[in-house]
Amino acid sequence: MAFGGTDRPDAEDEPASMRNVLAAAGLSLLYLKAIDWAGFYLATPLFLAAYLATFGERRPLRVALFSSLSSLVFFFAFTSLLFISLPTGQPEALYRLNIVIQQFFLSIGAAS
Amino acid sequence: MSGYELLLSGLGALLHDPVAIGLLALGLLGGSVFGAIPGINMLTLGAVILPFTVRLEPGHAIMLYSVIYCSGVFGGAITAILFNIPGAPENAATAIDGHPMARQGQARRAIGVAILCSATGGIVSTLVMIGAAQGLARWAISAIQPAEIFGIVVLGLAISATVGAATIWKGWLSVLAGMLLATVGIDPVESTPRFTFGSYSLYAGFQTVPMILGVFALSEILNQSRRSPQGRDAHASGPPVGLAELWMHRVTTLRSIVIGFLSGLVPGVGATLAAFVSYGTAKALAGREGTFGRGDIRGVISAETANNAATGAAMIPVLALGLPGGALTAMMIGVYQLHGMEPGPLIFTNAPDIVGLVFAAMLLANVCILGLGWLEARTVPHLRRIDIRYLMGFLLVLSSIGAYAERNLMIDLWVMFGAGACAWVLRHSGYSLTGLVLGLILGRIGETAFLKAMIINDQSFPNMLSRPIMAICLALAATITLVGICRSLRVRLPGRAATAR
Repeated sequence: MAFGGTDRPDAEDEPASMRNVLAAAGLSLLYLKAIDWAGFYLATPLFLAAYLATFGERRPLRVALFSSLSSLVFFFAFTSLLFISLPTGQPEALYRLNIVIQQFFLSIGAAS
Repeated sequence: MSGYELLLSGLGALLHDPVAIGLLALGLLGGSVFGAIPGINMLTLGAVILPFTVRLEPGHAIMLYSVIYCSGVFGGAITAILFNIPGAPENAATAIDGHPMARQGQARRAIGVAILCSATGGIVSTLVMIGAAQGLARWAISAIQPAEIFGIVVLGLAISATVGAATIWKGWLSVLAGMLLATVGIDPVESTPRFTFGSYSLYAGFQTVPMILGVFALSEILNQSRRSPQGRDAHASGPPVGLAELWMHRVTTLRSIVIGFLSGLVPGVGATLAAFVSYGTAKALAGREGTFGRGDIRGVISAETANNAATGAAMIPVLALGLPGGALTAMMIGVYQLHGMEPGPLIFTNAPDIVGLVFAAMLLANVCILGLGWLEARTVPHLRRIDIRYLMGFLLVLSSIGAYAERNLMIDLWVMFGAGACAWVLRHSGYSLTGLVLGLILGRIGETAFLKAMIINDQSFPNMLSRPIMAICLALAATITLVGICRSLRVRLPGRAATAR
């Protein structure tokens, strides 16, 4: 019996569930790589949509709505309110795009 | 100022401070919601918000963690009773008798008792803690030197290695792995770089925040992705409960408070084990007359009283010595570090307002559990319908921001991912994540203490051993480890005989 910590020996060891874990790990890794390369402001909505789609959410409207709304929440909370600096991407074009979004949310924060 | 004067001034400060009241409410709600959703728990919440506490005043941040601790330990009791799914490991012992009671149509009685017991255990334990912590700190300033800190750290690591994992070997490996990770970077006295492999990014070592995010948040996200969401309907039914029930079982309640408090005091034991020890004692003392395992009210009483009684006691070593005993208290040390503060007994003289705020918040949080439980018993059946997939993506983005925000370095994100992936593998092979994190955090504290103690004692270890407290701690640690090893060997022998037959 494992006490303490978060060990919970309840999950069943099916091949399907193992595939899910690998998919979640792969997506997380891709997301972290994408934050660095494409910038936080572009990677986040794409990741949220990809995560939902991978784990069986098939209604496109829901995926789009959830990923864009929660991205807006993140941008507002961390850029407009907390001024946390987040990665803005490597290639020139993507960097410009990130900066536009970042400046927009910074200006909201300054106005409010 | 005595502890109770600190409490009063803390209460005054808290109630005049809208930010503190808001944080208290958020902490209560957050702790109980994360405690109630099976799969994620208060450690996930604590890890995710840790990096952002740097924006709060230190007093507010520490207060927030103490509130999350109180409400998070309680939060999972109701899912344990209604669905036999403990929302958090702290409530696993509650399910053993709580769920059979629910199946016999006594869900409301079990939940009522759980709420009352959690509040009682928490309030009594907080009051005792307030009385004891300052005296202990005052004594610690003169009696506790680096050598003693080293001894207590070794004892804490030995205990968490013995109880945390599937076997004592895996427990020690978890703790030692954490200690090994703690050595990466520049050593605290001689400034020699260790295990940096020529990379400047590793000179500062593995940062606490990304490690905690990986171990407790990312590994949980990976774990949750293996199950498909499922919903079951159940609701609280049966006759309600009054204080009379608690009075009828006053002996069990009192005993559980004592057991919970003592377990919380010892580093490495914590609320989960407190609940199991208390449950086991109640069951053993009842002998054959109880209906333990088939819906005995005393099972719920013993488990739920003890786990909350452990929370107050666990704050004593954190406040008086600056030594964490579990994963959530380790995060409190992380909060201290983020604010550049030195955890330890001097906090009573340097920042009595912080201590008062923590005292007041913990007392209020435990009182609020009464109202929170009432609220939660009505909302938990709906909480079960939350689609966990939506939550997990959200939490991963939040963790990533948190890991990056402290130093603005990509390496912290990779550290988080590496720690999360390794932690997922470790937890599924019976290792203890709490042991790993305690090894990481206590390892650093212990190493610094050891090196300082060596300098004070003329670089001679036997000189250090002549300090009684340290010698006792080391002897206890050795005994606990030896007893654990002997027990694991003895258990294995009859097991082998049985399979041979």
